[in-house]
Amino acid sequence: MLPSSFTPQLLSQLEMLKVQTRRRFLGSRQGGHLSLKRGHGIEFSDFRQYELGDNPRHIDWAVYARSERLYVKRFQEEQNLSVLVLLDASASMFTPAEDKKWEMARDISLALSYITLMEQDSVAIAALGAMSTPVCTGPKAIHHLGRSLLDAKPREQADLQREVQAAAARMRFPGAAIFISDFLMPLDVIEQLFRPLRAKNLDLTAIQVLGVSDINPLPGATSAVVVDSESGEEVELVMDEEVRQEYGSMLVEHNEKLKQFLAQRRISYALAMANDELADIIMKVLPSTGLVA
Amino acid sequence: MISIFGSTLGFMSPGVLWLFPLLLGGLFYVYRRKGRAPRVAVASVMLLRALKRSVVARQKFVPPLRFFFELLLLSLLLLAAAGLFRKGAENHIAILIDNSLSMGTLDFATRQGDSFFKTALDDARRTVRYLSSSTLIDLYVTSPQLRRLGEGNLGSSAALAELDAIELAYAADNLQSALQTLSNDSHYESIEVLTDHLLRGSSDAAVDAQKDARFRFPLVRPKNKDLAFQNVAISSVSGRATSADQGAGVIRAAVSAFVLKEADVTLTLEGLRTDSNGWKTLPLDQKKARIRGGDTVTLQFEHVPFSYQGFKLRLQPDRDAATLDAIKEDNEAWFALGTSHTSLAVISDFPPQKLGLDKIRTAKFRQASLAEGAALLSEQSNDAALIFHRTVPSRLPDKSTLFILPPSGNGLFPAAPLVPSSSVTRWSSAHPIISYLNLPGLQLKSFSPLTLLPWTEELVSTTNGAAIIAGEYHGKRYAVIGFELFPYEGKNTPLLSILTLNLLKWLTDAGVGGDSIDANSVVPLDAGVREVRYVNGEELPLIKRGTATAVNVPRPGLVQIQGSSTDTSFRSINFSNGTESNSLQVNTFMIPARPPKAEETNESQGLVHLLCTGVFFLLLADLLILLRLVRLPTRLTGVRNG
Repeated sequence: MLPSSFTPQLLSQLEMLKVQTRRRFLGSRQGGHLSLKRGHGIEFSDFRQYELGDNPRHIDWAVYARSERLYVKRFQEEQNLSVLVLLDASASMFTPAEDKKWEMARDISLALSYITLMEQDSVAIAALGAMSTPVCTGPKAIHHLGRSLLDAKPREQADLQREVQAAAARMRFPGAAIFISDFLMPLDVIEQLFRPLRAKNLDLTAIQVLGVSDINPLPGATSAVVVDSESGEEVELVMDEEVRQEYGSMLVEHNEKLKQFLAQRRISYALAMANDELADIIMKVLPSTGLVA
Repeated sequence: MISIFGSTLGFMSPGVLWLFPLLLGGLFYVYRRKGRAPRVAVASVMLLRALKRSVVARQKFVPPLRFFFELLLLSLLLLAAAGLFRKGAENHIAILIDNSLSMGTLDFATRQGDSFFKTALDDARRTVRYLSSSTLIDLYVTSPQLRRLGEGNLGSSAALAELDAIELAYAADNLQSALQTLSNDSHYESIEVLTDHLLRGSSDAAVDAQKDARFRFPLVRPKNKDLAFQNVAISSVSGRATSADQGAGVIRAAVSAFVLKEADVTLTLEGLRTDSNGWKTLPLDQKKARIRGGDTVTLQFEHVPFSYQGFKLRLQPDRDAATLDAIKEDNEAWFALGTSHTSLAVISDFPPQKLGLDKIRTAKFRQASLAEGAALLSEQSNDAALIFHRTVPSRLPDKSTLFILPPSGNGLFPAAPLVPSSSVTRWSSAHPIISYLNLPGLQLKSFSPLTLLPWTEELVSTTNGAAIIAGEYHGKRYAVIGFELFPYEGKNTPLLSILTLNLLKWLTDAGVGGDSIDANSVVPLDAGVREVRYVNGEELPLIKRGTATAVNVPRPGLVQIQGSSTDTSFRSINFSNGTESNSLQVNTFMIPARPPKAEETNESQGLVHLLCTGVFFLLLADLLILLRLVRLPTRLTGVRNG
């Protein structure tokens, strides 16, 4: 069961995509991704002299024509990819509800999961603060993943760091981890969250999902008492134009710092707006990070 | 009660007004809460808290116009609930001053000798001075009867003038009745009562709750129970002539001692006489007495020369006057022989002067004739009694009558023809007519024996028959003398003179020795009286009552009643009241029950309607504003409310 945004057209578009990693990983079985193993994959690696018993189809006749010696091509072994999707399901992703940040983050994670499953790779989703799924394979697993996410409800007191650790621990083979959150938190907290994933030597990607209210808080209001959705902290504000501009600058600054932070840790970064089209994000935004192609 | 723009407003349930602070506070709280910036949940305040100007959104609370709109609406409802009503145009108070004799009590213990009356007047003046200029004042006195002073409602200055003119009355009070009368007048918002009576407490809470709360009782008499006000007083005076020519007599006075133990007193008798130089007062005699507390003793002055027009008695304690004599006004009494209303008609061929009757100063005699007809014999005539000298009317008069030597064969009192000298054989010594008579000395040269009638008795019998008979018939007294009584020659014929005086006294039942008139009574006067004045010169106005004339005598004293130039008589005016003079006794009173507030209810209903109408239109306006048919400015500053 998938959200309504997953139209057949979108699904067909997703089937054309493939999750990519910047590094080669050791998989558990033959899959569609280059692995460190050399063998009978389809990706040319280098030449070696013909030995009795080699498949004559692998003889490189162009080299024979030049050297009149028989050489066979060596190919990289293609293995399956383990993908871990970490989804921030804390209260901030649900506040305000009309921003639909959670819905976008959920859809992105399902889209990536679908792409992964269609490539015969395995995927597990951990909605931090809500639920986690087992490692799934096969295209049909997408429905299970969709159902699980649709039923996900955030818990009030969620220890995100512990849940990240737990999710990372379930990764038996190194692979890719995609962290979807609004990342409206201090950088040191973000570092804490990524640390277990980095320790696992995963190929990390951070997708920041922001809502309209994150960009322009309290539209139309001249004053308000804002309440943090997770801590309950209250801040009394007068929202005039100058204050809004100042906030915008601070948000840009925070995101810049976030990008730098992530870049320093070789974590890919993508920014997705919750009010954008899912297809645009998958087809245009994510490919720019190299996550999908 | 509050006064606004000349109107006095009151509340049926003023306790409801205590809700107003609650109302105001509640409305203020609601608007303050509404005026607070809204609370908005955001994903994270990480960046928001770092904003440089996290100004407190709650600015100084400036209520919008709607606040005052709703405050006005709720205030009107509250006033209606409190039963706002409008009283009369101005405040209206009553001040009742007890001016009975007991208020003359002098307080040397706590007020340097000021009387209760002075204390009361001072207090009343203070009250009047502190009242607002729009207050209407009604002044009342209790004695001799409840009376309102002045014309109409008084302002402050008029009330003060009336207070200056109030005098102590020689009269008792009927305070409880006066309180009830004032209580029944619902126009008064406050009734101040100044009296030496003390308020009687009640142990019944239900009764206390019903009392008229308008009454105020500033303390006039000290409440100290150990404080005793003692007093001596002349409680009565009387006298009578003891000599045949009324030239001398006795005067008696009863003196009461309202003291704790005993009092030594001196009673002084003074004679008043007038001559060309005016009135003179001459001391005649003194009597001393020691009177135990609570007792009354009678002191008698003997051989008092009755040549004076009147007499004055003065009482004073021999010592400790300040302690033993708290009320001075009851220390004087007056006595006079004159009985101006004791007038007798003499039906005779001879004028009263010829009959020597002008020598009798205690009565007036006029010559009358049978030609006056039925009016002469009527009970309604002004004559105290009739004297038929040697004649009889056609019927028995409806008035006490003396028949002297009625003609023989008359139809009223059969009398035999004159007989020569007879000796008195028997007499009724107990009868008042015969008192003081030495009848064996009576020599009758000729008399007409009388025939007894069934209702008469024989007072003097002779060897030849009844000489004097008398009796009462239908409440009237009749005496018949079978011999010539006149001319009256006083001491020259003492026996006949005394007989004559006894007869007159018995017939008129008047104090031949003089009777006293109560102060504050209206005294009927004979026709022809021109002037009545006290011997001190104060003239009393004559009161016309139809064809009759009367005079009010407000205080004790000796009054001179002047008829024609030679017709002058004197009357004594006295006041004696044991309750008023008994300063030891503390009289109490109770506050009357609260009267119904019918008029206030009517007025309050009028205002409640007004208030409800105002509320209705305010609610209508509120609805129009709500439907945005009418716009009001919603903010006074940039603060967003709600």
